[in-house]
Amino acid sequence: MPNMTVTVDGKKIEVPMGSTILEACTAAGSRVPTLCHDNKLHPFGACRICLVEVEGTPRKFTPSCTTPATDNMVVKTTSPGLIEARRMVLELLLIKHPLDCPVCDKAGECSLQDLVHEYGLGPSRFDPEKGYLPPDYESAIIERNISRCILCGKCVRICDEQNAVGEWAFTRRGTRARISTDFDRPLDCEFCGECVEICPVGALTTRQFKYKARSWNLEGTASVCNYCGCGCGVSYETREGRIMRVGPARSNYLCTKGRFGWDAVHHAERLTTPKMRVNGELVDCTWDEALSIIATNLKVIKSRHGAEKIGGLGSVRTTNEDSYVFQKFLRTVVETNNIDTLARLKTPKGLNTTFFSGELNKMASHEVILVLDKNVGEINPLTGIEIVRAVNKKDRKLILVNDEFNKFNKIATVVLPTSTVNALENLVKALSSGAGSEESKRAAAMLKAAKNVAIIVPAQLSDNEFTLIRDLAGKLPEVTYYPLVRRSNFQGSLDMGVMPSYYPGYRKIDETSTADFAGLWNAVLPETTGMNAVEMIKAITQGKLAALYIMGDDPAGSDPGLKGILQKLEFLVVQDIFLTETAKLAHVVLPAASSTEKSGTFTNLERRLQQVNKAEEPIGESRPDWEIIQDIAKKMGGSMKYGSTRDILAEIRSVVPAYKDLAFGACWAREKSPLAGMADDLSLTSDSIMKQEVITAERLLFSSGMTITRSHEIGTIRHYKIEV
Amino acid sequence: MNKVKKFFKTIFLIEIAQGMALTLKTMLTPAVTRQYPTFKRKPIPGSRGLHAMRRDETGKAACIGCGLCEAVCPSKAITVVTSEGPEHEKVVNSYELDLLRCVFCGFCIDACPVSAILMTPEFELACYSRKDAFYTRDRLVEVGDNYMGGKAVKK
Repeated sequence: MPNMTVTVDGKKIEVPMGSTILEACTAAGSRVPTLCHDNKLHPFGACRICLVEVEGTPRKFTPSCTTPATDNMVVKTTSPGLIEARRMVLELLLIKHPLDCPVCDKAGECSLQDLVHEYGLGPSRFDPEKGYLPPDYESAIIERNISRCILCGKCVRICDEQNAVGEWAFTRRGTRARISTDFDRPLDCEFCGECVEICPVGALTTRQFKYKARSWNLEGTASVCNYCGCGCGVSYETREGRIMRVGPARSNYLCTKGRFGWDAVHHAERLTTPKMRVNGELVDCTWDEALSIIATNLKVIKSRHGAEKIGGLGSVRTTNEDSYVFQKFLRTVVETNNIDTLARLKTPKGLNTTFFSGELNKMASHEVILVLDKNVGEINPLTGIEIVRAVNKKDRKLILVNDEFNKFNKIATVVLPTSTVNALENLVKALSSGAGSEESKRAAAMLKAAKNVAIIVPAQLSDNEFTLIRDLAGKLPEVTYYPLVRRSNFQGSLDMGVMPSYYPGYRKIDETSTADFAGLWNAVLPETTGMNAVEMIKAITQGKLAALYIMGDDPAGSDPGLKGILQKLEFLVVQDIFLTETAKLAHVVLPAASSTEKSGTFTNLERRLQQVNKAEEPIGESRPDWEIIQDIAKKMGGSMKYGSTRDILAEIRSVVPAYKDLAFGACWAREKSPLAGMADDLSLTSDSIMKQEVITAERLLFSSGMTITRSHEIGTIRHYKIEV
Repeated sequence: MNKVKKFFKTIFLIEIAQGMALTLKTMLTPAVTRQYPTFKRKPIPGSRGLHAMRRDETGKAACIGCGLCEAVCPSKAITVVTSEGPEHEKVVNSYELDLLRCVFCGFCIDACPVSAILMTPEFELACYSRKDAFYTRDRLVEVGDNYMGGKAVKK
């Protein structure tokens, strides 16, 4: 794009054609105050605070955020007249804005407060009309204080342009204009809290943070959200070592789970002490007792039945370090390869062999986006937001497969109102022969014309759907897949080798790899591959598995049918943050630290390595998972000597080739996986266990797991829905 | 020349005589030392001593929990903890002042938007335990009552 020259405050700069005056001023390093402008949104021009002087215009002042710059334009961002005009704007805003800064939660980070301070306003010349409407406490999570509103419209626009929800709108006219939902009903949206985040004043605030702390008391700890595979960067804002609220960090967006669901870690039912079963009851015990019992029992079972009768189910929500130590413990100390995660049952087929995810922030670079899962916004909210951003900001085309109606229907170019299989069949047919319904033909034409296509792969795929997607992709020039991944560190647990037939780094277990890893770990390793999760469950019923170690998973909670099976075990250890349905069956329960209370790394669905940092001290006596396992290993005669998670990561880097030089925040390349393009499938299928989703009356977004259902704040949404 | 001057000064004990003259003069003027603690001086208006909390018109502690005193305090002596009350109002759960940290700069008084926290001229703050130097909101209100007779003081 050609450039043009703009002079800002005497400084000549080059900006691309089509830039606004505000963008030119920012590029020149001159600050122009704004209230209604945000880079995420289209220019709006509501607040008139960004006025600048442009030489040679008939008008005296020009709003910079909405006016395009032209070549050889001469702009002045400050002058006595401009300051006077901006003060006037602020004075008019303050007619209605109450001066309750001392009790407003926005104080300290309020744009209006900052500007009034900067421009030094004296007593108002107008009759004030403060507090003309009482605050609205009707909605869950979000409170609305209309008196404080300055009608910048940011909430209205972000809800529409970025989220495609459109919950907020302006109602009434003139001095009575206000932001409102339709007919002033309570909010019934995704409750992502983006409107609260973007509100320049305290008109929209959250109930969770209300009167908890002042903004200047908070210290941020950058970390990663633990709720889905997107792995959004979060900033845990703490006061005196306790989280008060959570804000977005890297991804610039947080969904309701990431922003409000963290309070599950403060739940009263968190496990705080180890428990062991005495006379059929779980009673509190000391760490030493619990660990000794585990070590002794595992040793006895190993000598009596053999190591192949011991198994371990890992977690897809613990850190890479935890997963790595877990599989290393089972392989080197217990000497079994019966290691797996149940989450592999709920994984897209072909993940990490055929479907390698593209980077989410590059979604908008694709001309056409094909969404094959209608629940994309609920399973991976950030993927959903990136789709909406691509459509609304970059005018990308969206083909949606949806047999119901949701927010994506509003922005879709073509909707295929059938099931995923039917839609794929129709598309393949329309692409090859040109036959089919009107919609399929339109969609096929769009796909054919596009230089590159992004395909959103459903979180679960049948064999048929899998082949159809591959057929479809074969007919298109360039395809980027975006598989949906439900759990935060699913990718990481696969990378760490929490699988019965692969060592860390997807090294298939055979003679050479076993010899290699035996050398690396300086240990004796089992020679045969182990049982996978489905086989392990089957083995319990047949009496072929005597002991099971479950770290951070709740099989009995996900499938009540497993309860009876797990009861048949001779010895069951469960390590979790809550007393889950599975933990209630265990012989020893170990309290683990949650992801806010420990350090480590997560690998998200983009295969991006991200640092998890400790924001709080572990609750009660709970400890990070790797420390617990290391202590058991020591008691069983193993030789693990990790001082911190850094030591573990250093070992991971030396063992897993993809992680060798991987910087934090970077994604490992597809070529680094030995499985790329191979027929191996890392997902599992079973006709007997975890067949159906746990049925809830709620939306998937608010009830997708055992942690989120323990969040008080998300619970208020559910509560409200039942009331209505 | 200087040597001669010094010689005469030494012989006639001039410097001793000058010193004794000052001593005698001071002996005859009244003493300025007060016999503290028997005699106490009246505090100067505006002197900065022990803090006090004012009551508002309803008789409750006047603090609204804005935390500005906490923010401005250079020695981090003040901690304010707030929460939401049943009527959606801001409730001050605790207001704690650690006098051992306080440097008596008076910034907290300047910062308070409702003049809830004040300073009394009380300067005798010696105590036998650390706990006594730790002032909660109730103790501060008590100090206020002692100094202002429990009357609500308007700003």
